[in-house]
Amino acid sequence: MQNLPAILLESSPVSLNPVTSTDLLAILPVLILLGTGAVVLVMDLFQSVPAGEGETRKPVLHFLSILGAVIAGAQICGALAAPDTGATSFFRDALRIDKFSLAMSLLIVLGAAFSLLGAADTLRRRGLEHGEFHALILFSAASMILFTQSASLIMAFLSLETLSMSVYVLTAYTREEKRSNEGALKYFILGSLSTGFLLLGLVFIYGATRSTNLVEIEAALRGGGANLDSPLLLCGLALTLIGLSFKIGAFPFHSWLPDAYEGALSIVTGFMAVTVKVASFAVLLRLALLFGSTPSAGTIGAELHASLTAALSTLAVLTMVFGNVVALVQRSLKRMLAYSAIAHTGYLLVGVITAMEAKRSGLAAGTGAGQAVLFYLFPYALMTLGAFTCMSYLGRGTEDCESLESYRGLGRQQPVLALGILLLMISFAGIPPTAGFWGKLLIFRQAIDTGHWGLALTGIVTSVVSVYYYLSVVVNMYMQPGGENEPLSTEPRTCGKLAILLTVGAVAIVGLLPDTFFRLSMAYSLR
Amino acid sequence: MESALILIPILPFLGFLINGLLGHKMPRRAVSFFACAGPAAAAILSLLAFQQVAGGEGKAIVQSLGDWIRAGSLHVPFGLKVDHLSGVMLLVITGVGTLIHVYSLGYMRDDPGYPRFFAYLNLFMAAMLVLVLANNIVLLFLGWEGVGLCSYLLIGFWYKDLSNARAGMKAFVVNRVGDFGFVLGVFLIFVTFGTFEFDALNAGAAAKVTVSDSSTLWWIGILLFVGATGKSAQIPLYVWLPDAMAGPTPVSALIHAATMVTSGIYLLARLSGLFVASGVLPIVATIGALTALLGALIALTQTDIKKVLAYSTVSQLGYMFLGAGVGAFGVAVFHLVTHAFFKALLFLAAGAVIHSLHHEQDMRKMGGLLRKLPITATVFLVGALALSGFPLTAGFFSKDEILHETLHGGHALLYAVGFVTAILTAFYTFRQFCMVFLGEYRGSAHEGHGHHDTRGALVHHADSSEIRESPWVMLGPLVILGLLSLGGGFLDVPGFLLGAAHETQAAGVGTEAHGPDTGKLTGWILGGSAAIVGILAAFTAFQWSPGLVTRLQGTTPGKIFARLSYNKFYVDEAYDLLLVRPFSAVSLILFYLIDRALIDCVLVGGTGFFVRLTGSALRRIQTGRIPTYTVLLVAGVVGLLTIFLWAAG
Amino acid sequence: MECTLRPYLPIAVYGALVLGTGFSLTLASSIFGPRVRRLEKESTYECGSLPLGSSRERFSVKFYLVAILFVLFDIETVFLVPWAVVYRSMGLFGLLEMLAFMGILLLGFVYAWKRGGFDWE
Repeated sequence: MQNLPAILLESSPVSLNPVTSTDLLAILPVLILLGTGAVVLVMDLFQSVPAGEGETRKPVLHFLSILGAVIAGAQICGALAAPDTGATSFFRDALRIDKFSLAMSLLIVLGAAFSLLGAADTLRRRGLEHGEFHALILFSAASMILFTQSASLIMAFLSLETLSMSVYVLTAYTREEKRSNEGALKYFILGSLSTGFLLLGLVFIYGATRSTNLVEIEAALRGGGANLDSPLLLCGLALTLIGLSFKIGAFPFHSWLPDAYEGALSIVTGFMAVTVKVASFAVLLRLALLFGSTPSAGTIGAELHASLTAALSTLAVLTMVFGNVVALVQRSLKRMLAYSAIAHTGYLLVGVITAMEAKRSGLAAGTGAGQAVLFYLFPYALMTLGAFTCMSYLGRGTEDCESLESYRGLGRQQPVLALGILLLMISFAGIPPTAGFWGKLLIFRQAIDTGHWGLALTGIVTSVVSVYYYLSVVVNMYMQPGGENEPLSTEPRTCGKLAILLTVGAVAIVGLLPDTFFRLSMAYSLR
Repeated sequence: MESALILIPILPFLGFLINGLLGHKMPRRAVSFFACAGPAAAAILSLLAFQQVAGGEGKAIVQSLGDWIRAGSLHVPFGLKVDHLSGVMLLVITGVGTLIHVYSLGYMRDDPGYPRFFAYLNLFMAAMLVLVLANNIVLLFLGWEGVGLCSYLLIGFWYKDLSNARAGMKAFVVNRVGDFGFVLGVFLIFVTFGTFEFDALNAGAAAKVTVSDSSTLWWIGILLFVGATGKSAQIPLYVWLPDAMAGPTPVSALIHAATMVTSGIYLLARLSGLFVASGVLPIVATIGALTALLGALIALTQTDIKKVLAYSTVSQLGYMFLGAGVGAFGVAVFHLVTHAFFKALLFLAAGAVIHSLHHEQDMRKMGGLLRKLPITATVFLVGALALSGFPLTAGFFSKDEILHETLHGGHALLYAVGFVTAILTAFYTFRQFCMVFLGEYRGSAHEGHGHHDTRGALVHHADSSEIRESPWVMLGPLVILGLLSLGGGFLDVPGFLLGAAHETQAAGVGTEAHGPDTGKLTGWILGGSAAIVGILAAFTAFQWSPGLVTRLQGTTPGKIFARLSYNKFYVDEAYDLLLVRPFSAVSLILFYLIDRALIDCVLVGGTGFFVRLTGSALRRIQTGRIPTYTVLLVAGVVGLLTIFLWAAG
Repeated sequence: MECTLRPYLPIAVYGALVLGTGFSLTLASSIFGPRVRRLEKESTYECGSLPLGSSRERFSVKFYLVAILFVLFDIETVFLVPWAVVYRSMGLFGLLEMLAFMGILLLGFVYAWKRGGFDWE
């Protein structure tokens, strides 16, 4: 040690603080996901595929990857059930794990598990059963968990990039299909552009607060504006917001979304729509509460709050209106669901704004903030997964049927599947007493409680508009003649049945027993 | 027992799940087992719960399963409760329900929808039990809607026939009218009391009536009563019940006679404190008496064996409302219990007749079945006696108590209506008995004219030689119900419920002072003679001098009455003319004017045009070219930055 | 002003050295090196795409594959060098860390190989 030059010792503080086993234990779910992904990936290389067949059969692949996701989920559940000890930092403050991030992680793993479960039939039918699919889902889920748990701007950026890369590739997974490639390329190019903005924003924040660590940034904000460069901080926050808005598909930054959602496999679309949104909203909520609701000594706190509220409100209103209005004229179910995903982003943004307001005004003093967002995301995730899993069975051969007209007579041909879609659509539309209704009720109620009447009103009016397009699916399934000639869909096998049954059943349960889940979301809200 | 209450509805629900999901893959034997196991187990549990409530210190059993909904001040607990009232209801529902399940094993044996039928029937049991066990009105409403749904599904069980589907639809729509009142009542309850629990409501209403204005209470009472008239088939919403006979006969017995239709009575008894305080009881009594009379008058001339019983049910439900309306809730529930016994018996016996005659329901094609179906005829006779109120049968005591309480409460006019109805009841009941079981068999005259029955299958009229008694799986329940109809009157249900009310002070059931008095004997003699007069008249008219009816119908008033009664006083037609037609007309006008012209063309078309207009702009963005996307994105960046910095001031 | 720029002097010197070396080497090779004047040799890249003409031309995706694989394993070296410098101060932990890193990279190598990433045809 002594004979080393002093400068080397100074520049390697790593040696003083190695990774401990506590750190590794804290990210055990992530490690399990990554490990399973790697094993599945390599194992598939050594599996011989029966040649000359259109269909492949690799049950071990599905089993292993789902098992990995389930174990990771169980691990997170265990951590959630443990008594609340507040937020704990790991990896030298790169990660901060609290109940909120654990709950969000659970949603992500849930999304991954259901996607893997629902994917088995589609992949088999199309002869696309490769280990890469499973590995990419697991890898991206792992990086999403890290994203939601990151407490440092650098960690957040790295994990966001990792998850984005995985999702880009997943979008392009059906290589033979033109629109799949097209969607992925658009996603990738525009994603790179928005990432540039995000990175610039993070750099600005770092420049203004002199720290990349969220805890230190909060301390700097509390300290007041003396050592804060306010224009730089505002610009940084705006650019960061733009980067995240891109990921969640808020209005002017949504343009990639319909093309990418339409191009990807239905299962992948469901996975993206759920997990990317959950992870991004987790970080968005955390940042919004950090910057928009931290009481500060100077004027900077009020400025940030006003700016964030104005910007998020504009985004929310534009997104709700745009998503719902454009969804109205879609003739393809997949595209319609893509625009409806944009619309739901709008509702969730309202939830973020109200959470910010509630925390700032002290309404959420005892309960924590953001429970409306948390509560909304759970049934939303289930509904989206269920809907896209159902969609993946609608098609002839390897061809998907997406136009609403092609579902005519589905109510007779596939009564169970149609019933599932019916329930999901009703829940999406927010008709009581479904899960979707409770979620919307909570968000709009909180908006009214915090004085955001305009947002609540826009949300309610656009929800009413949305009933039309959701129910037009039902109308086509049940009330239109036709569809007598050919069976329109393929029969789900065990895995698919399980995925549909579980998601639809869970949606129904949340609708019937909203109270339990509401209390859970209170318990896991951001303190 | 506290923790096992939830099992009572869950067990039939499991039967529903098993038969509904796997029924078509299982052998019949397994379907039968699961179908009957759930209700039977629920019956045993109910008996245990009842024993605990009735014996010992008589305290109610409450199981709280946490909160169902909690949103702000809105708080709906998920609580189940068994007290004296719901205990009696439990026994009736599970007991009669189980018997009818067993009976159905035989009745539905050859039906292709066998598992579906039992799945629905089990679901009904579960919903009905939730209705009765609920300790708050919202949970009760869950059961209320659940039984409504099952009723709809079972009326339209043979859905391939259009008229069955129509009947189901009619029941559904008419019930919606009632439910609308119910829901409004529940809203008003929440606004007024801030709670949904029955005990708190009964106690709160008594306090409220002295403190604040009673008009709110009156509205609550009347709205809930509208709900009750829908479900329990009272004027003006009774029209669905006779049509509901399109369903299989066990369904008519279970849902449309013994249990579901009585839930309106149950609601009144459950919220008796509130209803007494609200001051709507005179209306309830009047409606009840009028319905009793109207139902009996229509039943006089019906020719369908089930329609007679259906109108009789409407009439008897009217009696129960009359009883509740004069404040004798316990007596109303007593009549509910005995009625469940004898009306289920009559329906099932009628079902056995229909079964033996290969789905013939027209009484004009029956007759002389006493010799062919002696057991069925005997039990039918028992049921008919009980319905007529023949002395010492079940119906005698309960109906008589209602009339007694009516007179006792000073409602002489209503008493007169009830008394006339009692005579009419005995008359139409034995008219039916004569037409079906006495005289000569008239079915063979039409032999060869096979027609399509409600199931769309070709029916061959049974030759008199091939009419056979039903299997014992059907007759067994009939015999048990027959014994109950004979002896059920000796159960002191009102006294039992009244005792409970005094003990718990929950303002529960029965508010009138009730004790033996000398007027009772006179009442018994009067009631008994009414029954006997009616029976004798029926025998005279239809058995001993058959020409009498024809002569009577020859006179002008007779002719008019026969036509009116046979056509159910044209109520359906009047509704059609006064409500349905104008409604359709208005809706057609609205459809063309508002929907087509205004909404479709102006609003939707306009919105569509607007959307297309903006859409064409948006579409130009959304054509899929990356450069335009990029421009949009950058424009968004500039816009958002501007908002951000501008808002910061 | 001078004070603030002073710390950057070593960087300026470093830059000058780098530029000088590169320039002088190129100059030397152009003076002393033998020349083969053929069309292929005169083009900017001896293999691969043409530098002139329409940029919208198609060429094989394999070039990118090789380039990406190269970058991946190049990064390995980039990490290995600083690791080797501070190896002693990091101790066993550093070794394990690097082994994990190499292991993951090896996995990637196996994957690329088995999937045929190295086959040109």
